[in-house]
Amino acid sequence: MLRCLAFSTVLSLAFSAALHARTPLPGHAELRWISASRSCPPGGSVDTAVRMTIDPGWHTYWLHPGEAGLPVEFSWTLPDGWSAEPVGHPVPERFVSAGLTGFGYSGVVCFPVRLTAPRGFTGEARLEANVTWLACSDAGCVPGERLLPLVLTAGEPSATPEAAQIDAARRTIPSPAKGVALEVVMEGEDALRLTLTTADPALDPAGAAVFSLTPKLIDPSTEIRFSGKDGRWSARVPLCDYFAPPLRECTLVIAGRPRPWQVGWQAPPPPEKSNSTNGASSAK
Amino acid sequence: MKSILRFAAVAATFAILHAAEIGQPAPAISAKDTKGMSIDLAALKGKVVVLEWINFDCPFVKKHYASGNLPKLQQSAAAKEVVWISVNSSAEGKQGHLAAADLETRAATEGSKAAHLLVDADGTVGKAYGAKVTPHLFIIGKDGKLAYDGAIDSKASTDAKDIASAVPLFANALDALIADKEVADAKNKPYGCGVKY
Repeated sequence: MLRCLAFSTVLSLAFSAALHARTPLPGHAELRWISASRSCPPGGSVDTAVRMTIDPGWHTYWLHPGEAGLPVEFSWTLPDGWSAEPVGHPVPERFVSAGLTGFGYSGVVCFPVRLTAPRGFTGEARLEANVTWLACSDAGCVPGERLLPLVLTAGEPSATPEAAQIDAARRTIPSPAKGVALEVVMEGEDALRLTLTTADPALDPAGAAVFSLTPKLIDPSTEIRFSGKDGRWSARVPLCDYFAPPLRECTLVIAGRPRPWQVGWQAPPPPEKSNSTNGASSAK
Repeated sequence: MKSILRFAAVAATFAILHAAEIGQPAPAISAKDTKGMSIDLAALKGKVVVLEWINFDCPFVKKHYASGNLPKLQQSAAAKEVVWISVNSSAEGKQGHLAAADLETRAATEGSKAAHLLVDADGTVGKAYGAKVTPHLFIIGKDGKLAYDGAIDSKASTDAKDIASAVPLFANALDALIADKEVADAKNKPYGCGVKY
């Protein structure tokens, strides 16, 4: 009997230890602010990234979260003279959660951010990132928030073990493509015709996942697929239920290989009034 | 069997095609609230009715209850003879699901002043209206037609501090409808957690 009790105690201890190990993280994600170097010369820059490891079965959201959800947001507390470039948001994945299409992340995702030190940087700098997000699974949604510290010392850079990961993360951020034009026109009352023209064969969008960065424009539940040839590609996409005319702008993110890219379109400005003295020609 | 399946498919398509639309008769509701009282939308004609989708564990819903924003809206609506129905479409085993008695207790704890609480665990009412998130708000006019389908306010966040500076889209719509004025922005994108059907 005693042995039996002892065994069951061991079992229950083991079980509770397992449970403890599996305790969900606040916001169902673990975060670290990693840096390619622990040191930075005065006036120099250092590449860093906020690495988010999301619990299995959960996801966080891209800048355009889809039908529901909220993007991951960052705010920085930096010592005087320090600056942070805009944080990069990698190309998302598409998922359906609770019947709604979302754009976001699962597993491990890195948000790169480049920091620049002031010219007079000496000694040590303590920086802070405040990150907020919403994590959802099929079963529920929870908010997450974390204050992350980063300490950098003045000096020549020396690579950390995370440098390669940060470098890889930077390559997942879409950058504006050169030599490609996007045209957007209404097709009927409830659809858009998107046309990409490019002479660069590396920008072939066929087969690539495409996301609209512009909210309330394209129905998120429809996948955007381009087809075409000879540098001219086109896609017909249904408008989002919440689209409010007129058609003003559209930015697309294309999960191209090897690098993702983005392209934007803006409606031409309305015709100038004949008595206008305003320099509309300065609009680009 | 095949014909049953076909019928089901046709019925499902019908339901999707006839999801709630602004200016059209609101989908019928015939159900019992958590107190066992019958709710029949047809019998409420002549009154303004609010449908609010809830999930008390959703951070967006928490924002508007913990701050007192939704209870205040419910109280002010009741004073104007608006019938407020809070609907919980969380399926069993999903976040926010509560049986009738537990939903009443929880709603009281949260300060809810809704006239009716509805357990819609099979999602019938939610899907008929196309309720997407919590909170998602609908307003039905005295004529029984859908007058508003959208967000509680303009700032998609879980932070209660944002309420004061947000445009109160829903409250504006309700005020307009009560004053027999045209509802501006009658359909807008609601923000929140997906309804856990």
